[in-house]
This record gives sequence, structure tokens and C-alpha cells, in this order.
Amino acid sequence: MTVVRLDTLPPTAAAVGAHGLPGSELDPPGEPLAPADWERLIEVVRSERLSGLLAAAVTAGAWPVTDDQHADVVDAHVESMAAALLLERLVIDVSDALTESSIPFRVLKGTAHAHLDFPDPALRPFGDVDLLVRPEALPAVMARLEQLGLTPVSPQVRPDFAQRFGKSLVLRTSGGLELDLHRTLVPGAYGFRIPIEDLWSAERTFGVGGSTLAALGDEQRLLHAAYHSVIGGRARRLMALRDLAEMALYGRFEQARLRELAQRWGCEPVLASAVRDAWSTYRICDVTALSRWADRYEIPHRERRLLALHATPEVSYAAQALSAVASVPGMRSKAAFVTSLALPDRAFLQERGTTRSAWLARGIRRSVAAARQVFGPT
Amino acid sequence: MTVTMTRFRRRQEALWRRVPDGVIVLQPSGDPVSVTGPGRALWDALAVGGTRTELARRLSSTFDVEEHRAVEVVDEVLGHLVDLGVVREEP
Repeated sequence: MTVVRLDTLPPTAAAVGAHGLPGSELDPPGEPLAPADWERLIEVVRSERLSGLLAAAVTAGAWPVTDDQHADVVDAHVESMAAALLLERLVIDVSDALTESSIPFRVLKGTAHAHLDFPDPALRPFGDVDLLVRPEALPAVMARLEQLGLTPVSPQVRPDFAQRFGKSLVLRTSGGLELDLHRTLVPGAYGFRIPIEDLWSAERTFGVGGSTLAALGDEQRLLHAAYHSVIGGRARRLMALRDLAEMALYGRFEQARLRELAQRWGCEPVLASAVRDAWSTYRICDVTALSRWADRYEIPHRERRLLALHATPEVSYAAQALSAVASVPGMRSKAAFVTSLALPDRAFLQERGTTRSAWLARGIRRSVAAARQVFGPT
Repeated sequence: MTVTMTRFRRRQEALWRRVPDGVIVLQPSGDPVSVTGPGRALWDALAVGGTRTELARRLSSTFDVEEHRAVEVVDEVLGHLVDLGVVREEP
């Protein structure tokens, strides 16, 4: 995965991400970019999955380009759309298989955003398929998907880790298409705070290739976009922020229901930060009830550290895992969570070319460093 | 007579996207194919569907080309799309 930090992106990348947002004060350049600036932009457009927005801007005559630059845009967009179509074929095949086995699921992230939250799905490329399934159904789902040629990319820490504690499992076809099978929306403490039933309490359906697929409800989808834009590093953050802005400005969510869910999931700081980031990144001048709330919301002191632990790319996985222990429900589960991480299965260790003693020794060193990040001064 | 009354329509299962110069359609085989030029307008017209004559008329009004030329385009592109399995014939 290419990780692109938002603060290192060219300013024109945000202008691409803002194309079509009427409340944005970001303007495209007045003339075609110089070759070096263009090379950098087109690289970021590809990695941040902004080709749909750039293609729309160029087609509308809103973004000046040379003939060569126009060809670059077409190439990038055609490539990303071809990939999206192959992934849609995969999601339909998986949907047919799970429906046949009476296994409920929800389509998450890019595929759902493209069809539900953008006026044209071509504006929203995506690079994998994300599905939510009930934790207890994970083994049956994996067995069914294996029949379709989807196999785990790597062994789990423990065979039941994804079902009990994980955010998701990555599966891959022989052709290299990826499918993330989710138990919940986000890793670590924030993930454990989400009542699983809340993810299944509403749905929004959409049609793809003659099939009807179910996504999360409008409020849950918006919160997922908020998590994605704040947590887990900076990769593809511009698109996640655009997803959020698109839903916040034009979505069908109910403000009261959104706030109620955010409170129950303990993610109000995430929502407020994400909305503020979207408004500042895209310089959106429109004020909505949600942006007004986000501006006024004060993140409680105890939540600031947790947010920083999940929002800062430099923070280690060990620190995030350590901070999650408190949110794992029940003492037995806490013990099982820590044990799983400290003493993984042999297959997991072999795949990483390490031994149990080496893993433990490294784990202790990392835990000490992680403890400083989790419990040290803010 | 039968040929002229045959209606053509996009297959509901067809997966496609708009791109700057046309549309990309995924063939049932899994290979994407690009439909450009007048083919794009034909693809749009195939959402509702119609006979060759109706489609040519719609293409002609969209692209301001003579109807006999539009018929040639429809014959060429439509046959290709049917062969690819993304457009179906309705008797």
C-alpha cells in the first residue's frame, strides 16, 4: 500500500478532491500545470483514487490540461474504472453465494459510496471490496468464499481472532482481487465500542448489474467514513474526506440519529474531527447543522489521547492494541485478547519468519514503548 | 420483417462506467471493453432500447448525422455489443 501523508500532497490534489462541491472555495489552476507539477499530481490522483473527480473536472472544462495531460487523465480513469467493474463482478458473485446460503451481509466503503453517495459511480473509484458479516457467521462465510476461490492473504493471529477481536480479514482471488471481510468498522478501542447490532439495525439498498445489494444505513455509513478519514494513517484520506463531505452536504441522514449513534459508539471525537478536517481540507464555506456541531464540540481530555493514538501514523500497532484492552468486554475476553497477541499460532509466526520466543521478546520491547505512547504525557 | 422489429436493450447484468471519451463495459468474460464515439450515444439509447430504426433515429438526432449513416453505425456497433453479450435481443 502506498501511504501518502496529507500534509505532503500537492495543494492541487485537494482542489481535485473538491471538484463539484459547490460550497468549496478551492479553485483549479488557471492554466495547465507545469510538467513536474503534473507528474506529481497524476501520481497522487492515482494513489488517492481521485481519477473520477479529475476526469469530471477536465471533461467539464473546469480543469485546464494539455493534450498529453488529457491522455494521462483518460488512462488513469479508464484503468480505475476497469478495476471497479471487476470488483463489482466479484461482489455480485459473492452476494449470490451468500444469499444462496442465507448469510446476511452489508457492502461497505467504496462500492457502497460510489452507488449511494455520489451522483455518478464513476466519480468514486475503489480498489477492493469490503463486506460486513456477523461475527458468528465468519467461519461459514470464509468456507463459502473459499469455494469461490477467495482465500486469506495471511494466517490469523489465532483461528478465532477475527471472529472475536479483529476488524477484518483480507481475502484474495487468484486474479489478485481483494475482499475485506469485516466484523466491525474500525480496529482497536473504537471498534470494540461499536455495538454490533447497531451495524445491522438499518440498511440502504442499491442496484448493481441487476442485483440489489444492502449497505449500512445512512448514519452508520457516514460514521464509517468519519472513522476512515481520521483513523488508520493517511492513505486515501482525501477520498475518505470527500465521502464524508458528500454525505454531510447531500446525504439523507438524520442529524439526531447520527449524534445518538456517535454518542453510543463513543466516537463523537472522531466524527467532530472528521467533519472539521473535511471542511478545512476542502475549504467548504457552507455551514450545516453537522459542521456547526463539529466546530463547537470540545473533545473531552480523556478522549484526546485515544484519538491521537489512532489518528497518528507514527503510533505503533502495539500502542493501539494496548489502548484497546480496556474496551474489550469482560475479563476473560481481555485475557484472551492479550494472550492471542502475545502467543500467536505457529502458522502466523511461520508466515512472518519468526519464532514464539523472538515474537515474545519483541512484543515485550514494543509493549514498553507502546505503554509510553498510551500512558505517557500528552 | 422479423429483423427490423427485433428490439435491442442493454442487459440488466451489464456492468459499465462512464469515462471521458465513452463508456467502459465489462464483458461476461471479465474483459473490459471501451465504447467510444457514436457508440456512447448508442449505449445511452440502449438503456430504454428499441429497434434498429428507432436507435438509429435517436442516434441521428443526438449526433446530427444523416439517418442512413446512423443506421450503418447502429448495425456495426450493435452487432458488436450483442456479440460481447452486453446487449440482448427482444423479439
